[in-house]
Formats: sequence, C-alpha cells, structure tokens
Amino acid sequence: MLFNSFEFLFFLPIVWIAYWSLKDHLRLQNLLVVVASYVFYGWWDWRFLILIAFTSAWSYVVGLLELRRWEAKPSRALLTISLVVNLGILGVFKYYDFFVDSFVSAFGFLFPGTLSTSTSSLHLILPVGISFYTFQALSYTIDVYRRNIRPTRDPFAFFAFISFFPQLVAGPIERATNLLPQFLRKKEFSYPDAVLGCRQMLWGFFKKMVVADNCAVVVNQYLNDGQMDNGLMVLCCVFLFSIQIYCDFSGYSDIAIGCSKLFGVKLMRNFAFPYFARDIAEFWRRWHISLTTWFRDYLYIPLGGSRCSKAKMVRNTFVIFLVSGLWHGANWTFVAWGAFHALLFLPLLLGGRNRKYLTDIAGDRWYPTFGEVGLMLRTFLLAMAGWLLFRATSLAEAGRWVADIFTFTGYALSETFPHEGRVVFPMIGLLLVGEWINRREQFGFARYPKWKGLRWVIYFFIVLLIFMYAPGSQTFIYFQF
Amino acid sequence: MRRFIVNALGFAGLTGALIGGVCAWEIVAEIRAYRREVIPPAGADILLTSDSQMAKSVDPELAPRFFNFCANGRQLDQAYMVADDVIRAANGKIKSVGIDVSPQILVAPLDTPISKMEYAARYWLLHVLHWKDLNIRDLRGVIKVARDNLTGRRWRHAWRAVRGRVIFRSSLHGEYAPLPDCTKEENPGFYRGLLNDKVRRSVAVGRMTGDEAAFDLLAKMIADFQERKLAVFVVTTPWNPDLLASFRSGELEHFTKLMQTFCRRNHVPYLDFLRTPFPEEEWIDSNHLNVRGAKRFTPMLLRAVEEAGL
Repeated sequence: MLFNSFEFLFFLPIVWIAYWSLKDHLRLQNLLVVVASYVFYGWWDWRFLILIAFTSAWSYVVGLLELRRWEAKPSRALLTISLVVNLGILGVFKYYDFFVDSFVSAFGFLFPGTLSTSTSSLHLILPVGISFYTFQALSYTIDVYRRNIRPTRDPFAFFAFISFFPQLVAGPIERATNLLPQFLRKKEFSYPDAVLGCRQMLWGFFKKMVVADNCAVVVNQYLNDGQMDNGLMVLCCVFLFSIQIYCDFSGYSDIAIGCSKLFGVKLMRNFAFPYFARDIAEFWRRWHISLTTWFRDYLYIPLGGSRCSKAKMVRNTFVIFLVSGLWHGANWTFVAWGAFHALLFLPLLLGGRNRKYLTDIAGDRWYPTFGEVGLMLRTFLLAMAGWLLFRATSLAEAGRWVADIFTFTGYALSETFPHEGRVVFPMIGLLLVGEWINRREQFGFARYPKWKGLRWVIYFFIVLLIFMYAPGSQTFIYFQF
Repeated sequence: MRRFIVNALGFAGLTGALIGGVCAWEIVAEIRAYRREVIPPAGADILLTSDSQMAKSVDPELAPRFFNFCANGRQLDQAYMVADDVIRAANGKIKSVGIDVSPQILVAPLDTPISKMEYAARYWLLHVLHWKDLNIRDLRGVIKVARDNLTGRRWRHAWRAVRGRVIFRSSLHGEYAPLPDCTKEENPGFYRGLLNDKVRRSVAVGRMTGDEAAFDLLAKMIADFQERKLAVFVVTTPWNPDLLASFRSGELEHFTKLMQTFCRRNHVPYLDFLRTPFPEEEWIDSNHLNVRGAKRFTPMLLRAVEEAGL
C-alpha cells in the first residue's frame, strides 16, 4: 500500500481509531499494529509477508536464546549465525543475480556453453523494503550482543517493532534501543504531537506528490528515452533528479515520522536539510541519517573507525561508502556512486576537516552570506554529480551523459518540455523557502503562524497544490531498495 | 483526543468542500466550453467525427465546409456522442457526417470505465442543465452505468473522468486545435505507432475479436444519422508506409475488405485513403499528417466527398 493512495486514506483512520481504543491493552494494541502492518505490507504481494515474518521470528528467537545466557558472555556464534541468515536472505533476493551476471560477464569466456545469465540467474522478485527491515532486525541482534538492550519476551511488541507500517518499507531504519521500548510501554495520546504529525505528513505529501512526482515525469521522459544527445536537457534532468530523490525520500520519511506521531511513537530524524550542507561531510551527516549512523555504529566503528592508522581509516571509509552504495542496489553504478562520495569525503577526513560545520547554516540570520551560498552550491553540485551515477542504469550510460554535458552537444531546452516541468520550478522555489525558514527545525513546515485562520489557509493551500498538481500515482524511489 | 478528532473532521470536511467546489467549477467550465465548441461555424455543413487522426490530417481553413470535431479517445461511442451533440447544436445546418474509421478505432474497447463514466457524467450533467430534454429512461441507464463504475477500483477512473481530466477540454480538439508542423523525425513519439501490436493482432486475417460491438455501434450510428436525413460516409485517413509495412501480408487487405463489405451493406460510401502516399516530410508520426500533409489531404477529401454527391 502506498501512502499516496486512496486505500491509505481509509486505512489510516480505521487503524488509528482502533489503536487508541486499545490504549489500555498494550498487548492487543501491539497485535493490532502487527496485523495492520502486515495488511499494509501484504497489499503489494502477500508472499512478501512470509519473508518479513521469518526475519522477525528468527531475530526474536535469537534474542531469546541470548536472553537465556544473559549473565554470561555474549555468544559470538549466535550473532554470526543471525548475521549470516539475515544477510543471506538479503543477499539472495537482492544481490544473487547481480553477482552471477557480473561473474558471467567477466569470466564466461572461460566456460563457453556452460555459463549464461539466463541459466544461472534466479530472477527473484525483490521484496519491497527488504533492506530496511533486515537492517532493523540486525540492529536488534547486534545491540543484544553488545548488551545495549535486553531481549524481549513479548512477541507482539517485537513483531510490531520490526513491521511498524509507517517506517516498514522505506525507513527510517530504527534502532531497537529507540523503537522497541516504545512498544513495551503504554502510550498516551498527545494533541500537540498529533497536530505536528499531521503537519509533517502534509509537508511530506507536498514534497512527494507535487515536487518529486513532477520532477519524475520530466526526468523519466528524457532520461529513459536512451536516445538523448542534448547536454542541457541531461543537466536539467540530473538537477531535477537531485530534487526528486531528496523530496521523494525525505517526503516519505516525513510522512512516516508524522504518521508515527499520530500513534504516540517517536521515530528518529532521517533528513536534516542536506542540500544546505556546506561540505560533503556535513551532507552525509544530514542525508539518510538512519542509514549512515547504522553503518557508522555497526560497521565503521567495529572496523576501527577513525581511531586507527591513516591507511585503515582510508580502508574503513571506502568500505562504508562502497557498502552503502551497494545497499542501494545491485548495480555497478551504485558502487561507483559510493566510491565517488568516498573520494570526496576522504580529503576532509584525512585533513581533519570533516567536522568543520556542526551548527546550522546562517545561524539566527534570515539569509546566508555569499560565501555560505557558494559553499551550499558547491556541495549541491558535487552531490548532483553523484546522482548522475545513481540514476544511470549502467556505467556506459553515465559516461554518455557526462560526455553530452561536457561536449555541449545539442545544448537547447527541448521544445516538448512538458507542462510538469514548468510547474515544478515554482514548487521547488516554494520548497526552498519553506525549508530555509525551518532549517533549524525538525522538518520543513514545523514553524507555523500563531493565528489559526492563517494556519488553516496555508494547510488548504498545500492540499490544493497536491490536488491540482500531483501528476498521478508514482511509487517511492526507495521502495526498490 | 476529542479536540483532535473534531478538528480533523472539520478540516477533512472543509477540504472536501473546497475540492468539491474546485471540481464543480472545473466541470461547469468544461461543459460551458464544450457547449460553445460543438456549435459549427457558418458555412460548415459536413461534420467529420473521429479521433486525433482527423484532427491532425484535415485543415478546416482550407475547406470551410468541414467541421472537424474529434473525441480523442479512440472510441466509437465517444465519437457518436460528440456527433450527436454537434448535430443538435447545429440545428439543421449539418447536412453530412463523415465517420473516420481506422483499424485502431475498431479495436479500442468500448466499455472502459473512463469512457462510460465520462459519458455518464457528461450526459447526466448536460441533461440536468437542459432539463427539458431529460429522458427518464436514459437517466436510469446513466445512473446504472455510473453506479457500475463506482465499484471496485474503477472509481478512481470515474473520479478522474468526473473531474474532467480525461475527455473534456484536454482531448476534445475540435477545429480549434493548432495543427502540428514538425516532421516525424522531430517527433519523439514517432516510433510508438509501430509498436501498436494490439491493432495488428486484431486486424489479423479472419479474426476481429472484440470488435463486433464496434461494428454494431457503427451500424447504429449510420442508421441514426440516416434517420435524421443526413448523408453519411465512412472514411479511413492515411497511415504512414512504415506503419503499414509493420502489418503482415493480407491483414490490411482484410480490414479494407471488411470495411467495403460493411459500407455496402449499410448503404454508405467508403472513402479509403489508408494507403494514399504522402512525402515523408508531411508526416508527424506513423498515423498523423502534419500541417503540410493536411494542406494536401484536405482538398483531396473534399473532392472525394463532392464526387460522392455528399
């Protein structure tokens, strides 16, 4: 089920009413969350439920086994088995065909007639959100191993933690230490939180349905064509894709976080206005925060982090960025994207400048200085260069686009630049203004006028924009991860 | 929580009213515009009704006798509906009706939710506004069709249709749509025509599955117009040789034979321009002429109509 669908419009109020009707019965409430989440997830394909149920059950059992030996030293064997099983499932569904195809492409000539992609690949359907909930389950088993959290015996709470529908398919990737305890205690309805949640959802829908989806129409029309040799349109589309991926993903996160507030659940922040970053290091502190912190805590630091030799620091940084790239998809373009960002990040890290910008840009001022604008622009352009790799379906295609841009081939705005393209730029302007004003808040519409009438006018205005300019239902980009 | 529920319901209600108001305003504006557009100009006595093929291939400025009004849905029932509206609005000025029939219009399904709901919404709203023409039997039929389409997942299509996105102004070109001038090479949509395998499959020798309803409706249209003392003819507009070549041997001949037989049985002339050659630079895509092509085709069509005594 998509957030931006009519089914969800009916699903949410029904679940919400039932949820708060059961506020004095925690176990039943958690069971409702599990059932509702499985309905939400199974709406795409009921077969996906088998996998998430297995992942949840497996992680739950591992937790119980660790609980039995809680006073003793944590079991490395148990952790290893848990990691192998969870990552194995992810690997088979997401990466098997990729690695087989790559192997066959590279070495197939050694075994003529016996190796081919059609016979060796499995062609499995990738379950929606598998990367997200698998990582969430892993965070539990690793935190249990580290004794950061006590395993729970409550299966309903645990299954609710893994499958909580607002964040199930595209994050934020929650830590067990944050989310699981919330399902183990009674929740009270908070009016301010609920209103804030609704406002955050509205902003998320605006970003997704108006900005991202209209960008997608233009980007898909030109970049999917495969025939384009117009450098200016490539540049335009890469710019719009940069906006699209931010609005799509952060819009989803806003909807997920806002929706969770309606249920009295606090999720972690996932985006902190990354395009206002002054360098790449700050960008990565603001982009997909749940994933980057996950990799930092569960991969980077165990590898030694930054408290090791420079050679190991370089190795660790590359590992993190390459794995992060690969997490996004089974394609060499994602690996290249990760490597590109590693190359941008390393000079800052090695030079000790990766924590130069820790405060919000422009402080209390309404507007940035020219220098700050320059820094933001530079960071945005670097990120945009990375998104070119991210969007391409192959390295060859990415190379063609780069060639088109830098050889100034056919530089002209296409005459068939669709209506949506002309709609999207004013909306990007609106987004920029909203997010700049709220850059020190949790999301782009956190601050609001005190007068209720004006507030409601703004709400209606945003709803009207969504109604009039949403081009039609498009899935969220990050569902494919 | 009560305060939140009250505010939420209030907001939802006001939002619904706002959106409903916007939709109603859009629909009324569309209906008013449509009513203006169905009135033929002075001097026009031949109505050409079809889909975008006629809209692009005929230039009314060259032949003021033509009133070229097209419903771009590739569906015969929409063409019928539009023709009926024009004839009524013309109040006797229309003397002839030319129905464009191409292989693709015969295979487009007649019972898609969009088609029915749009028809239902328009027919219902127009008859509410023209209350004198209200026919109670039609009304019941319309309500039934509307209700049928609001079940299951079709209601999303129905909603869009009611909002007027699908058919009203956006695709009712009439003679006010500017004719395109680029050539097929400049038009990225060119290749799409070649991929119309559905058309190819349905024109396959010996089989026209799903199109019997289309032929029945076509016969009904012809009989209806003839009853109103209008001269009727059927015309097939030109297709690009590349598109023609993508069909298997015998398929298009089968289509032509079907049309000739059908027209003979229904006592209407058949003006077949399907294979009429045009230079490459006069095509905008595989089945539409551009402005230059229209300048050549329009007098051709007019001559054929006059020679047929229509």
